[in-house]
Formats: sequence, C-alpha cells, structure tokens
Amino acid sequence: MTDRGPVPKTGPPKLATRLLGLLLTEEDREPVAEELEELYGIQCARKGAEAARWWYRRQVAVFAWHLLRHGRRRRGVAAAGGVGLNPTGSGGKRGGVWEMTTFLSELRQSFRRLRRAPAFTMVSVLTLGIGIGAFTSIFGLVESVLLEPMPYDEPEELVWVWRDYTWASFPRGWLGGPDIVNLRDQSDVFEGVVGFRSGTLNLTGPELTEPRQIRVLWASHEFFPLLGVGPVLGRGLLAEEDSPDAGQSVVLGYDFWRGQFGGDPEVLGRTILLDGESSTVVGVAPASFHFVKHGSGADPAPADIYVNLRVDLGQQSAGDGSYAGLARLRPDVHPEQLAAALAAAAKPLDDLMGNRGLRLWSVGLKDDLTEGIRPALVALIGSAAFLLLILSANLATLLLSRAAVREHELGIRIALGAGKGRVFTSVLTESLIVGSMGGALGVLLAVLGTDLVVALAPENLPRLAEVGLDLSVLAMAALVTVAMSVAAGLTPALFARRASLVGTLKEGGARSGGSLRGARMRSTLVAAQVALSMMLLVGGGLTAQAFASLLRADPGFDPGQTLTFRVPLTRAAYPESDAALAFHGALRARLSALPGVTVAGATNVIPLTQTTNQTGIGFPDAPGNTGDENVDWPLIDWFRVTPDYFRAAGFRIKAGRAFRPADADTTSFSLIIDDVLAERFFPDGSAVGSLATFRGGTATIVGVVDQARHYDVHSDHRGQAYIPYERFPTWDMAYAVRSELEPASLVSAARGAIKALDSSVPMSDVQSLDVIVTDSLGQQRLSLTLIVGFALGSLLLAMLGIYGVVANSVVRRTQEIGVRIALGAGTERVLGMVLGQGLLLTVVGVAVGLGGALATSRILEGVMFGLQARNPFVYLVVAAGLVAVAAVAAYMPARRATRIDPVEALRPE
Amino acid sequence: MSKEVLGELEHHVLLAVLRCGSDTYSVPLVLELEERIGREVAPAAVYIALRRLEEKGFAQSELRRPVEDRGARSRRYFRVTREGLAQARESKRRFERMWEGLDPVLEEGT
Repeated sequence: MTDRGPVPKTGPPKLATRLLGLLLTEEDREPVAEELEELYGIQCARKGAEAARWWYRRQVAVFAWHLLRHGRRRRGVAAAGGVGLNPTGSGGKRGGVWEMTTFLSELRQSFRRLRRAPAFTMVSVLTLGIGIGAFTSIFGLVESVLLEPMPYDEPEELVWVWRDYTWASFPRGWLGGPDIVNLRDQSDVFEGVVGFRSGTLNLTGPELTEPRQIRVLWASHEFFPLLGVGPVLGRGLLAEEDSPDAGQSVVLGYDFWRGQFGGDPEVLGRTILLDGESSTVVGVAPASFHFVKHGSGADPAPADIYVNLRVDLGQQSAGDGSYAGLARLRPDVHPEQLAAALAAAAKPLDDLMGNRGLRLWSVGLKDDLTEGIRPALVALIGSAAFLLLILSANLATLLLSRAAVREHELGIRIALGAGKGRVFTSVLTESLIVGSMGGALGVLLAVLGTDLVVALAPENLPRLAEVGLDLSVLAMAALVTVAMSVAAGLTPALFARRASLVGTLKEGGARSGGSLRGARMRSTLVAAQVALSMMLLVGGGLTAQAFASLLRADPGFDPGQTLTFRVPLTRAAYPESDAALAFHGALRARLSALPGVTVAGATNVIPLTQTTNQTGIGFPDAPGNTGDENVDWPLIDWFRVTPDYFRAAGFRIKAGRAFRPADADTTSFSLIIDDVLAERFFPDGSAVGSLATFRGGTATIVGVVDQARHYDVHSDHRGQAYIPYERFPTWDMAYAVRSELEPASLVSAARGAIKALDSSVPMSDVQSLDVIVTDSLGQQRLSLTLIVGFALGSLLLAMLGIYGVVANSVVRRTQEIGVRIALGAGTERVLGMVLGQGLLLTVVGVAVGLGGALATSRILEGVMFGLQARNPFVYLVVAAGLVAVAAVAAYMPARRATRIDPVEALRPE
Repeated sequence: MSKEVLGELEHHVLLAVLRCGSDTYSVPLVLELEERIGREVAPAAVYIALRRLEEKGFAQSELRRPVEDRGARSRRYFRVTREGLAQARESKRRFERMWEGLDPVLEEGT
C-alpha cells in the first residue's frame, strides 16, 4: 500500500491530446501522438506530473502555432503554391479546382490585409477570444451540470424517494428501513429500491504513517445493479452480505484504488482496517462511476469506498429516517401509478405515526439536481450569450469601418469587373479569419477559464468534478465562432458588395474616413451595441443589487477568527462512552491552553456544514400553544454542545445564559432553544425557566440564542434546541477554536494536541468558520462575479465602439470642420458638435436598450432569488454611466477636431 | 539540390539524425539535441525541421511499428539521404573554411 497522496494523473492532458489530433493530418496523428506521449513520460519522470502536463500543453500550442503559420501540409505533396493575385476573378478555368484556388488566394490576401492592420486584428482577435473563452467556459459548466447524462445506466428511470413530514414542513426527510421494504413490495412499479447512507471511517494500518479518514457509502447489495454499474475488478456486494451478522465487505472506488493501492489488481481479498474492524476488499468500481449528490447538496456524499449495509431494514424503527432512497422505475410507469405506489408504501408508516400526514414523494435524478442551480446557470449563459452578441456587433462595426476605408479600392475592383460575389466573399473571409483566430484563442482561454470557474465555484455545486471541456463543448465553441463571424461579416460584406466607384469618387475619396453610407451603418451598429450593453448592464446591476442583499444576510453567529475541524473517534478504539467523553474533555483543555486561543468548544455539527438530527419537542405550559398537537409538537433540529461552544462559534445569547460545566450533571436537564422557538411559544419572553418535553425527558430552558443558520444562509428553517453533549454523548465531535491568530496558523498546533492524546485519531474537515459562511454564498458570488464581469466588458466595448465612430467621423469631416473653423466656429462649437454626435448615438441606444432591459429584467426576476426588476436606481445609474462613458469616448476625437488647421484641411489632395 | 539552405535547427536536427544512427525517431532525437545543445527543445519544432529536411530531400521517413514492441503504435523513423549526407559534408567544409584562422581572435576575447 502506498502512502496517501494525490491520485497520480496517468496520461497527458486529454483536451490537449484531442486538440493535437485535430491539428494533425491523419498520417501524422498516430506517430506524433505516440512519440509525444513518450516524451511526456520522460518529462513526468524529470519534473513531476503537473509540470509535464503543462509542458505537453505547450508543445501542442507550438504545433498549433506552426501549423497556423505554415499550414498543414500533406507529406510528399508540394505546398499549394503558384496561386497568384487575381483581382478580378474573371477568366480562367471553372470548376472545383478553380473555386478552391480562388478561395485560397482570397484567404491569402485577407491574411495579408490583416497583417497590415495589426491593431485592428489584435483588438478584434483579443476581444473575440475573451468573449468566446468566457462563453465556452460557462457552456462547459452548464453542459456538465445540466445537460450531460448522469454516469449511471438508464438514469432517466432513477428517482430519489423522500419522506415529507407535511405537518412539520420538512419535505426532504430520509427514509426509514421499513419504508424501503414497503417500497420494494410495490414491485410492479419499482424494479428495485436501494437504501444507503454516507459517512466516514478511519483507515489505519501499519503501512500508513497517519490514520486517514475516508468517505464511505454504506449500501445494500442492490446498489450497483440498480445504478447499472458493474465492477471493473472482482465483484459487487452480495445479498448475504446485507445480513447484520455478515463481515464487512468493501468495494473500492476507482480513484481510491489507484491512489491508495497504486491500482494493484492483487488487492482483491486483502484485509484493511476500517475503524479498527477487519474488512475484506471484494471489488473495484469502474473509473467512469462516481456517485452524484442529490440537489440539496447534503449527504449522501460521493465516497472513496462502498461498504455493505449490514442492517435488517424491516426490523428498524419506523420513526427514524436513516437512509437516502433511490429507486429504479419499471419502463412505462405512469405518474399516477407511481403516485399510487408511493401512497401505498407510506400508508403503514403514517398510520404508525398517528396519521399526521407523512407522505413519500419522488423526484427524477436530473430534475432534482438542476432544480436549484438552473436559474443561476441560465442567467449566466444568457449574459455570456449577450456578450457574444455585443462582440458580434462590435466586430461588425470594426469590419464595416475597414470596408468603408477600402470602399474606393472595392469600387475599382467592381468597376474592373470583379464579381460582386467575389467582393462579398473577400469581406466575409476577413471576418471568418478574425473569427477563427478569436475562436482558437477563446478555446485556449477557456482551458484556463474552466479551471477558474471550477476554482471560484462553491464545492456544493453539483457535479463540479465533472466540469471540463469535452468534444461537445469544443463543437459548441466552433459553432459559436462560425455563427459570430458570419453574423458580424454579413453587414459589412453586403455593404462592400454595393461599393461603387462613382459614389466614392463623388465624395472625393472622403479622405481616409470612408463614405457617408458606411458611417451611417456604423452609427446604427454602435447604437445597437449601446442598447445591448444597456440591457446587459441593467441585468448585471440588478443581479449585483440582489446579491448585495444576500451577502448582508446574517448567518446568526459571528464567525470571527475561528478554526473548525472534526475529530472522529471510533467505537472500536473507544467502546465506552466515558472514554470518548474523557478524550474530548482532555482535548478541549489542551486546545484552550494553546497560545493565542481565546476559547475552544465542540458540538456534533458545525453550522452550514452537515445535517444534524431532528426530533419533536413540546412546551407543555407555553403561552404560545394552540391546542393543535401537530402545531404544538414541532420537529426541530437539535445539537449537542460543550459549555464554551456558543462563545467559540460566536453565537449570540438573547436571554438567560449559556451552558455551565454544572449542566453536564445528568440529574437535571438543561436546554437552550433558539429565538424562533422562543418567539413562537413564549411571545411574552417567559422562555427562560420554562419546561420542555424533549426526547422522553423534561428539561428546563436556561437560555435563548439567536438562530444560527444551519442549512442555508438565507432561509429560516426549523427551530433549534441545544443540550449539553454529555447527555447524549457522541464520538464524532466538531470543534470550534476561536483565537486572536489567523485560524490557519493554529492547524498544526491543534493537530499536535490531538496526536498527543492518541496518534491514531485523525483530524478532518479543517476549515475556518468564516470560510464556511463565505462558501455557503459561493454559488451566488460566482454568478455575480461573472455577470458583472460581462457587463463591464460590454461597457468597455461600447466605449470603444463610440470612440471608433466619432473618431472616424472626425476624419471624414475634416474638410467640413476646417471650413467651419475658417468661417469662425469657436472651439466650444466644434467640441459640442462632435460630442453631440457621440451622445446622440448613446441616447438612442440607451432609449432602445431601456425597453429591452425592462423585458430581460422581468425574466431575471423570475430566475434570481431576491431580484427586483423595477429598480429605478439601477436603470438610472446604468443610463448615466453609459452617457458618461460615451462622453469620455467622444471627447478625445472631439478635442482633435478643435485642433484641425483649416489651411491644412482645405489643401487639395 | 545543394543550393537549398539549411536553417540552424534543421542543421542541428540533420546532425542529430546522423548521430543517432541512420534509423531513428523523434524521441531519441529530441533527447540527443537537448543533451548536445544544453537546453530544452520543443518536439514540435523538431518535427517541423524533420518535415522540411524531408521536403528538401535530405531525409527520408518511414512509418512502422517498433520491432521490440509489437503492441505499440506506429512511429515515424528517419534516415539521412545521400543528398543529406552531401549537404552535411558540404556545410562542415563551409564552416571549417569560415573558422580557419579565427582561433586567435576567439582567444583574445577570453
């Protein structure tokens, strides 16, 4: 067994390999790939896997660069030379060969023209590259999360089944063992039902320098067959292994097998120590299989290993919800049949619980997963698409101005007999070249962008590990590139087609600013760009507003500088609860004594990290009781805490007091409730000192705390109650250590404190409390960052567009302005005239964009939590901002206009 | 043929093919070049140089599976043609003529 460490990356980067395959001709593909892989192996040995991967990517980029410059030539065939300049396109052979050479020569000329205009080419390729890169990264994310099928067999037949405690508004409860048995009885609807749960076990052994906590999924033997997954090695779990008397059998996850056992096929039959219990490795799951969390992001989580669930499900207490339930429907089951089967399976349990309305419900895997995240992703992809639209308009404007400058030349070409089609193609080709270069850059940027998106994305984003660029994403990027290039090239190409020599000669060549016709078209395009920017900026502004209010959401506690981590003791090592209590007591004392530590406390679950236990609670003498038992006996979350936990985690005591060490004495029973329960049952503020019925005992309420958000920073959940942890000891405790120091700097000291007590106990889930709170907002933060980024990008493009149009018009009108100045027009007058032109464009664009923004923000309102479409402030700020930016953009050429020397301007050409 | 000019890298690659024995593929070539030149060499550049040498008639290549490992994918094996050898000889002569009598000048610099 190798020591733990990252799973070694095997081959060279997949995407780069694919790209290489696309770049090379068929005859080169195999040898080059083979030989480059061999060199990659050498690089791995020299510099390590990560450096080698980058080296490989660099090599592919070098290939791409050479091929761009020299073209991809077939061995033995001379380069397609001898294609001369043919301005008219008339005469010569007709047919395929000729068409091809014409196109090649057009391509060559376009390349040459672009090389002569490096500023235009660079700006266009760069902006397009960034836009396409952003779009591609986000599309990759959306594709992995929303579109890609789940890694199971026939995933559309699979459903999650949950308990809905209707009376307690708790719709996503786990199933009890008997539920699963009852569901299996409905065999005409369900092909199979599996119950499972996840957690962690400590892997120990002589080969390991440190104990390692690994993620485990306990499942009955149907798990793998139900998902349609066969082992890559050995076997799955057997029916007899479900028995409570069976030994522990383990199916290894593929990555874990590679990482921990080096992919050793001899691993079958080996014994490993899990929480001190000998367990037999019976199989290895395939590489393609990984368990995908359900949509609410809570357990069960993906696992390193799969262990047999040694439980007689039918014998379990019906009241306890202990398992996530997955069922496979038989083909062609109608929704009514499904509903009837669920109702029939729920009936005995509801009867048992006093007919308070327990029901079972099901949701398709994909629907469940994407329900929560879909709106944000749709908003994101929408704004990225918007950005692309703006980029198209921007590219069209730039191409148009180039075509306008060339109008004279194009006119001559047409007059000399060049087909209009040829001229049309010539402009479109330019657009396609710039577009393709932008697209290529975009894909390269998307490789980085995807890493960035994954890094920014919160861990609870479903299927985050699967996000990446694959062929379908690349195909989308290619499609978008071509569509954009054609869309952007069409207007200028149509414009060029109608270039007439007479017209341009009449306008006296219009210096180098192009004709009036071209200028009008450009103005229209820029106004359109402003309108689109207005829409995107308003969307971004509204999202930012909504997010700001979300960010202000109070988690109910003050995270401060607090380090949190879990210390899972095993029952194998500490069979007696007293021993576990003693360990945790001693650890708390050691942690409190560390230099810089203010206070150390512990609980079973840190807020916003995992689910906790639920139970019913009653307040017999509370003034808030209604007499309806369903209302007066609510289901609540309950926690076990040490006396100092509230202080360590920054909880706020609203009334009464925190626990004292004396509360640990189990002859009396002290309880602390949250303000949600207190306000509901004791509106008069009499909670402290009152009695509560809790888990079969009577407890005295000694304090009231502000509710600490446990599942979601934004929404209230069930009421909460806290008890001293000694009353229901737990082996696995989560610590909160508040200090004057950076939480990260405490980690090694804390680890030392654990090791000093017992070196076989691991420390896991190390995180600072403020990071936990921040991460819980990560999804919104990611969306916000990207949307605002796009909006600002569009603003910059609008600015460039306005600048371009105004500057161009100043050049075109040099003579006219010269005459005006000669006739006595003052600086202000000229300044005002030119500025006015830019502002007019902007105002028209803003006006049109306002209508569009109103429409799009209505859509946004539907998908984004807390967003208000009618926020006049945002509209005002965006409109004012656009006008201000336009003024700045137009000012520079306007200044230049005032400095026009009339003599110079009026000198004949 | 000998009017064809060799770029520096092409020159190096041509010599490397000669060094590696007359039947070799890109991997030993890259390693040999790195060893001799003393810095990292991009395989893509080596490929392109090989391709040019082929186009100029100084090298020939053949696609085949390695003898020692039948399961492996094909590699492209290169050897120097007669023209290539003549070109190498010619360039060596040219360089030697250019270097003649320059040693004292180089010595001065140190």
